[in-house]
Amino acid sequence: MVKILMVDKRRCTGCHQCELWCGTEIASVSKELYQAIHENPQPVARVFVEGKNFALQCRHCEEAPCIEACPNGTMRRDPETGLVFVYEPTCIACWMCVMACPFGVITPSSSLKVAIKCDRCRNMGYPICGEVCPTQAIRLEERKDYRAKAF
Amino acid sequence: MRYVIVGGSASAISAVEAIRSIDSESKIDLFSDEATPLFSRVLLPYYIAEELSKPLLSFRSPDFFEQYRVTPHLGVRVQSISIDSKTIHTENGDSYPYDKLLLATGGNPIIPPIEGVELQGVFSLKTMADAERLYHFKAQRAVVIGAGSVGVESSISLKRKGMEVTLLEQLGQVLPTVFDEEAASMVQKRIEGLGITPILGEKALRFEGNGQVRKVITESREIECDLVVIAVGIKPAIELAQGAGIEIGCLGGIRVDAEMMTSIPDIYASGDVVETYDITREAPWINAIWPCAVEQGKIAGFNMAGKKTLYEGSFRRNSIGNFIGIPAISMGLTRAETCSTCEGGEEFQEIKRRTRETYKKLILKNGRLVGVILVGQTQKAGLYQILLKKKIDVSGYVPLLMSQSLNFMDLLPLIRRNADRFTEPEYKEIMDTGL
Amino acid sequence: MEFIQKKSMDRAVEYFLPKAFEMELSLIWDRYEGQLPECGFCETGLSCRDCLQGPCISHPFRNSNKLGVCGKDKDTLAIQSLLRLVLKGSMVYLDRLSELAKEMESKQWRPKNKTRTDQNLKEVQSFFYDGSLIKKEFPRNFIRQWEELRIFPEGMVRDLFRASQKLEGGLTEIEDLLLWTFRSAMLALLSQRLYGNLKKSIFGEWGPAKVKVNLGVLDSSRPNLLLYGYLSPLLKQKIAQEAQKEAIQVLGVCTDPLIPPFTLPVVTTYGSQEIPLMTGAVDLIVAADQGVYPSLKEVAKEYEVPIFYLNGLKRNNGLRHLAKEIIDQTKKSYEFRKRLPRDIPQIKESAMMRFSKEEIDPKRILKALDGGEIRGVALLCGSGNVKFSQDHEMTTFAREFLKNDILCISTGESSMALAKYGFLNPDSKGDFCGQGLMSLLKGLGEQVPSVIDFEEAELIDFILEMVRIGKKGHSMVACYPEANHSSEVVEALRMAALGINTYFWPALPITGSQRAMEEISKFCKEKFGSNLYIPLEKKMEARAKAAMVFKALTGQEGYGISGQPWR
Repeated sequence: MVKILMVDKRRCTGCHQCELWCGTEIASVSKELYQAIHENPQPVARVFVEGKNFALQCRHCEEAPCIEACPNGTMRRDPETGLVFVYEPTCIACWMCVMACPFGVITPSSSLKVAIKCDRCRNMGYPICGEVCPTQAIRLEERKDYRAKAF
Repeated sequence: MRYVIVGGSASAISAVEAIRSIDSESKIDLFSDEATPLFSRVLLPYYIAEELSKPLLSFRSPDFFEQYRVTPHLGVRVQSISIDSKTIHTENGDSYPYDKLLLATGGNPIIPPIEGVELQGVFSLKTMADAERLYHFKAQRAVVIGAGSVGVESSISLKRKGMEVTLLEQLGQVLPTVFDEEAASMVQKRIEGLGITPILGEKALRFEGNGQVRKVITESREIECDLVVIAVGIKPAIELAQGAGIEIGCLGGIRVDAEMMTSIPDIYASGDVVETYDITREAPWINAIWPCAVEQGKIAGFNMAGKKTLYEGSFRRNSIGNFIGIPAISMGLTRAETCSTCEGGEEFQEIKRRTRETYKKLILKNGRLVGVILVGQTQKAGLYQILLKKKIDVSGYVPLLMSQSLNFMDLLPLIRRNADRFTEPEYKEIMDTGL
Repeated sequence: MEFIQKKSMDRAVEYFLPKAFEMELSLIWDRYEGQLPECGFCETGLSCRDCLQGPCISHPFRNSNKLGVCGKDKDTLAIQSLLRLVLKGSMVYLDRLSELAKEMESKQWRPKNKTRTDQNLKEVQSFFYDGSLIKKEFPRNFIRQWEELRIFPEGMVRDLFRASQKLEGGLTEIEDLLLWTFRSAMLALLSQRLYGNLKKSIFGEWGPAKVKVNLGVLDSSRPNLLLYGYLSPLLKQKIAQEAQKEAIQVLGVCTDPLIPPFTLPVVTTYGSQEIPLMTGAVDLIVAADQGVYPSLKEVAKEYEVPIFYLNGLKRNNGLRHLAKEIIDQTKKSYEFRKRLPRDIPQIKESAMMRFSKEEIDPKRILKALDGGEIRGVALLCGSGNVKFSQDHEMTTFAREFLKNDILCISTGESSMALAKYGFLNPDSKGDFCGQGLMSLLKGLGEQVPSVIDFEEAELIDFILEMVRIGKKGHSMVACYPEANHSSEVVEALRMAALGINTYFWPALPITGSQRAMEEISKFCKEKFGSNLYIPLEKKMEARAKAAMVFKALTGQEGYGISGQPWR
């Protein structure tokens, strides 16, 4: 079963720490806040604090529109974890995935010429946004089987 | 069960994946007249511009056919179909029986009957072979006929190769099927900034040259050149279907039902070759674009493998990538009045907002979103797409939709109100938590 | 306590950590772990709460909120974060000075030197409103330089008011903000100086004294009265006098242990100030404002230790009355508490403290530098910071420096921290010092320990003298290996203003703005000829830091920081 990040709006205070740490640990070259701040191009955080207090990242959709929209297989799904990620070397910056994402969480980076989105820290083992959330509003949970319920 | 698939691009591969997700045993034969498998047609301009090397044009890994246990017949043209015996015949004289057949034959470039079109140095860009020829062709000055997506991208590619490029469009704006005048003018400025000369509202009357093209003649001028790329659009490749007596729609594409089945049972069609119900036009239309091809291939594949699935309908979407330096996305209709098939009694609304670097336009039909154009700021484009696709009444949400700070969470009340249409687990999840 | 980090280098403290864990007692380390990860915006100086339209941040990774509501950019935010700290820190010194002056003006105390006290009080008055009388306190070249820069105070009251308005908005250039920041730091420097003079006039001159340090100083068979934080020296003297009559032991934490003629034993240092209560041997605590954890209240409740609140406004009795009250309550509390078990680990050290340029002659030091006997002078300053294992950075610096013949000088809390490990014990010199340094120290006198403690005002005297007769600052550095209070930020800026290269950990909250860092290092370099090192490397090991300072000090490498202090 795919694990998924759940966000509790009641706990989210909109403090932007998830964005800050995502931008540092995941997006920056230096991985150190003090240096990441000054990097150029500016690191792109993959999580968005939206509507005042909801930290939204890629939902890793079971039927991912971004994968369908990608014209050269750059948007991929990790067969083991089910996580959707951008294979950066082949990204041609056509922004078809940006157009397809129903949550608006894929960033078209003109400076880096790649689409940037959350891969739920697949190379790190644990998602940094959940780790640093001071109120534990972001938690990793098993995805419920909504489809089974629907049928 | 024996599956035969004619075509080797987005729709065909998507169908293979759909079939295999249900039926892992049966034999699948795939026929493609392209000798190079699994390359992405939309990336050919990138190849010509040397942005991408050949291996990076693939949209699936090289072992795709093995992995999905598909028998590929590459560079093999299918000549005819015997409907009674459920068999296809190739140009080599071989015959293959099928239980379910998919026609994903795509489209052919339209070559207008212009005098001199047969001259050397006049190209179209559709196949890998076209791309190879164009890539190796030595020229100083190029004229691209047609300022659609392929035309614009080809112009930029040729410019990057160091050529002097003129972009000739007979209508009054660039990307006429993609943008309205305002957005087109923003994009045009970028194109000019790249050093390309667009000439609008002029038609190529003939090509001149002695064996090799030297000039393009229009109503008002002669443009010297040694290369012409014709990119005035594509038309469905229906020869095979026509020969078999499959019904063709009024727009010239294969007519299919919601299960992507043609007028003949067990023969399905998908991709650029079909005409489908367009949800923004509420009429049949040929939306020859990558995402539609993938969607339709998937629906066809499911139905062929016995899982009944209905297609909600297609709609146009285009994204201008990083190629021209400003992101721009457009979907559905581009202007209210383009919808010639509309019946009376419908109320259209156009809302526009222009800032120095951005442009946003929404087209509403009876409160429903049927067209969106975004230039400059495009990150939240997918939010509009899902509202458009799910046919949500957004009339109360126009200020929010026009706002620069639109985000998913602000749309949540609207999604909640239409919860019955958002059945995907991802939406259920978000509606479940959070509030 | 879950975080796998060594809490303290102090054995006496470590003894109590498992007990605290069993009792589910929340100590500073637990609370620190509870706060992790810290808010990155505040850490880098990119946040602002100056008005009620906010709070605002400048987001490094998003373009939609780079500016605060009022339009402050990250450069202004960062420099203002520094100015805010410096203003707050300067108040610490201003408060001490004004309180002591007020007590003396009440004429209830008989100072040792009446004439000088009156003269000092006049100077204090002058300092408050115009600053003309205090110029003679500093060498003329410094005064001229500071006046040219317009950072020399023109009257403390007005300067404070003006500087505080720089946090209220408006259009200000970064350099102007920096000038106000340094002017505020100068206020602290002057008040420190005046406070030192006044104290000397009141209590008389005094030389080095011996102090006992660490938990072992608690007495199991006598009432122990524990003073926390900065208390008026007059009050402390009074308490000590009264306590002597009643056979009560008065001890201190984060407070000056030397009150002529008394020396108070020091129980522990800043980071571990909750620990003494866990011995059960503390019978009353008196807590001041500066440098005291509010958490003492909870720990004291757990161990049934009564607290004596000084309160300032609620109580209007004089200091003499207060002292008597404190002693009475200690006695009462002991009557009840003496039946409770006392668990005192027998760990203590002795420390020789309070040297001045009388004993440590700057000429002799400069000669030793020139002759190659020692390779530099390092000032070790600052109290502890929970971000580091308690005392780890400080002791590592001292050890590395002493071994390599660097003369180490410390003051205030850093002296107390080092004292716990024997660095201030004259008998332990052989354990730490290199040969050259050893011979210099021996030459200075048998009672001189490895690390030499100065009173703050005396240290400034010493520095001024070193700078006056020696080559400019370059064989001297100031290190704040684990700094904590806003007053230490002020001290560090003051060191830079005196022309001394200064290393400060952890990073000041200006790292969010490259421009702010550039401006401040350029400012120090151009105006004072000094470098202010702002670390951008969070995970640097203590020995690597010490090695970096050592290399710069001995000229093997440039400061590695000129122009680019962050790399």
